[in-house]
Amino acid sequence: MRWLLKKAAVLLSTYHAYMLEYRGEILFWLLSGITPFFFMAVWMEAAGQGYTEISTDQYARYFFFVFLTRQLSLVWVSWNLSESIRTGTLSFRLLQPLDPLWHHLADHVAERGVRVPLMVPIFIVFTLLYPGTLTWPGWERALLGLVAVALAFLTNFFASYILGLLALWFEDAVELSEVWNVLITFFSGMLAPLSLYPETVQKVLAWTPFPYLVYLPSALWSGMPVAAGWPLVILLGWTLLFYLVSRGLWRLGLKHYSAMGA
Amino acid sequence: MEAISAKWLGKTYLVAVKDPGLAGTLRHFFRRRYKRIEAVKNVSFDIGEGEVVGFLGPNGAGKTTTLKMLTGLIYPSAGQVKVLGHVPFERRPEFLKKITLVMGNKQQLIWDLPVLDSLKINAAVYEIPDAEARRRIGAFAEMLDLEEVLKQPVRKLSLGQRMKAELMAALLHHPKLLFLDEPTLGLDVNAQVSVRAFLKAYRSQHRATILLTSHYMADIAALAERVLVIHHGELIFDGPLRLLVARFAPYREVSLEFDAQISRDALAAYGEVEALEGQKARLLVRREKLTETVRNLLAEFPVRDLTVSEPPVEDVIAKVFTAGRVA
Amino acid sequence: MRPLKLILTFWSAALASQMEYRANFVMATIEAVLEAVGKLFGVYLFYTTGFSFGGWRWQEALLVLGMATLVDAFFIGVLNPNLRRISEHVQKGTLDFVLLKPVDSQLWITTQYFSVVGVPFFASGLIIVIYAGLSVHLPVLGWLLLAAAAIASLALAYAIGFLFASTAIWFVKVFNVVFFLNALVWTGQYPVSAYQRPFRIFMTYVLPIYFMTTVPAELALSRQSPAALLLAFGVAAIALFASRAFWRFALRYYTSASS
Repeated sequence: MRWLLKKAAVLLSTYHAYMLEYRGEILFWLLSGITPFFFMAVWMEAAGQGYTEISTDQYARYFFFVFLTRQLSLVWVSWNLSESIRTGTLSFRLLQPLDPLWHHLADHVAERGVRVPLMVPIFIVFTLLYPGTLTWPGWERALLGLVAVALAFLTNFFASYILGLLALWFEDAVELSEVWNVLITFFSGMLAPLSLYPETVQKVLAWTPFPYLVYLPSALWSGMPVAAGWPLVILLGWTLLFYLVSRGLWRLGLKHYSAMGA
Repeated sequence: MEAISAKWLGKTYLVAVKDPGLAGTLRHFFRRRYKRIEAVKNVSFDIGEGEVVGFLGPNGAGKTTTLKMLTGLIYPSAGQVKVLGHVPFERRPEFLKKITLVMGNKQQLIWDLPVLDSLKINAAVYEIPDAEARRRIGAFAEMLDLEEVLKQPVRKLSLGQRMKAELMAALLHHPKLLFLDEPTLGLDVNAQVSVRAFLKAYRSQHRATILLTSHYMADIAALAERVLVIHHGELIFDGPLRLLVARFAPYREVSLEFDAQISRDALAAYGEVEALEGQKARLLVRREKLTETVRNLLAEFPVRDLTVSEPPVEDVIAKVFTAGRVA
Repeated sequence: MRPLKLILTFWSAALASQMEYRANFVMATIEAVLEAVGKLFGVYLFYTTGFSFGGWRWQEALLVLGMATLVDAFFIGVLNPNLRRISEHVQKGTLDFVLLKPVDSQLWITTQYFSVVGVPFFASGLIIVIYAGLSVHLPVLGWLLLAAAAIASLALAYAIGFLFASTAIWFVKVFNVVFFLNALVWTGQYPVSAYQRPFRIFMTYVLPIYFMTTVPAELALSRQSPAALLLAFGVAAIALFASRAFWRFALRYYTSASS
């Protein structure tokens, strides 16, 4: 137990230091996540002309939290994995008495420690441009939203883990994570609050993980009418599913890696 | 107990074969054909605790594949292997804590952070208490003359410093068994010498067993008492380096300088002409005929100068590989 | 036409080196199709509310969307792989070799690579543009204006991309600067009149995305007089000139990496 905490602490602090070296990169990455604000600008214009029932303030609030949700749940582990497979550093990791998963998880969590402070200026600019739109959703929604974001992060993480492991069999499987990102952009509620989607589309999407990854936490935080209970359970189900598949694939992958010559 | 015991070890890869062109791709997609490649076959050897063994062979001979089977990175397709009493492929923590692998062409240090940070991670991963880790780092840094650079990011280090830092990270948990794959690759002579000295010192302090591959014969000659030679996946020699040289180099090199131009044909009668340039020549002469040949050369030609030497070990090894299996 | 020959040589080498990775191309095609579907779905979503991007029929809006897709494809296929390499060159010090070549360094550095991944995106953009153009019955003059404005648009994209990437001389790691620019340009998929005023101003005067996607469509649809074409080329020329001057300026600060 003592060693468990010690390992976690060392991994987190080292990767935090590592990510600090990349703060400039992270800042620009953060800035390239501002597309939700452009969608916001169009929806607010539409709302201003009276075309939708949602008010301009609600749009501002919703899209700010979409931005926040995306920033908190971004992952790149597929890239890390395929890189370690390509360069062979995976071999070193396999010879250490610690599952490489923990390295990657620590790397991602520690990065948030750099990313979140960098988001403060964006928060300030936003509150100056749209004063009064950001309101406290209440403890319950705030916490539920946090749980949803954490689960969304883990779901993204394990999905990305799966895509990265595919690099063991197919070179350049990294492109697949782009497909995942495209699907998130258009079908998770980044483009518009999900309630504006046609009903059949909403019904179909409910069967995919996407709406839970962005819409659920954003709607919880921005006070949109959304049920928390069932959607959270479904999201948890997706998280577990991706976790189990990623572990299974990891085992298969190791066998393959060791059969094909590491 | 033996540190390593390998019996009839073999590794066969299935490599997918694909015909060129779209038709080939399609056919490949539906019915894959494979070619079997025997990277390692029937390799058996034992290495006792505390031995230092050099592992020789040309590129693609199966050295790295064997090392990877011994460390448990790849699963042998035939034979048995026990390393420190463990089956390597299970990669149990008790086993992993006793071994290490260093690859000269790959690095595990975090590129953008000071060396110390990577060492801290390894200390935690191998559960080395802080005080002990500090002590070990201090000791290693002194031996390797790295104290000054531990706080610099890895990317700012020279190649030699980087390799030494890699060694520090790889040995921090004081492994009993070291697998070193080309640990001096690309280093300048000074760095090579200090890496060798360090490995020697580590070995005597920890009574560690070392299996190393290297392209530099100087590494092998300085560290290993025994060599294994692998060629086309098969073990063709296992014994002291001295014996390898004696068996494969039953030659002496005779360097000559003449007062006049001598033709190649005239010299060829006395031995294998390695080089002939102007009035200088180098001849390979069988050892048992050495005295006789030298006497004849001096009698027949206007010799100004003559020296006899051992051919370089590199040449000997090259000969082994062209000659094939040891009788 | 030495530069053209150089580019052809570069690109055929790049093409040959990518022939091995056909899977990559297939993935990119899937991605391009999904992205196109998603973008169309986005436009559809706005129009279901009755909002019309500030007075554009949806087929007209698709003309802007198609132009934006073409610009994206230009980034994916040509600009990104080259601009990211500037960073690499500075990091590894290989910019030295480029600067010592008897070829213009800007030309060399920005045209060396071409990624086949851009092709399916380019195709999807072309399909959208042609569909939109046919459904609004563009006259021949409209098509011509569109094509001419598209050239100005790509030149502008090139100049701005190069301008951003030149900062690598100081900041070294600018992979994400290019990524950031991609994200901004990506928003050009709707006519600027669809956006709130501050955004409209930003997209016109700060980062001229307006000239990349909206202006070509406006010209084709005669929402602007043909004279605006001169304006589009003027903006592109100024940007090209500025980017070139900036590169020259940046090079003065280039300190070749030591190792």
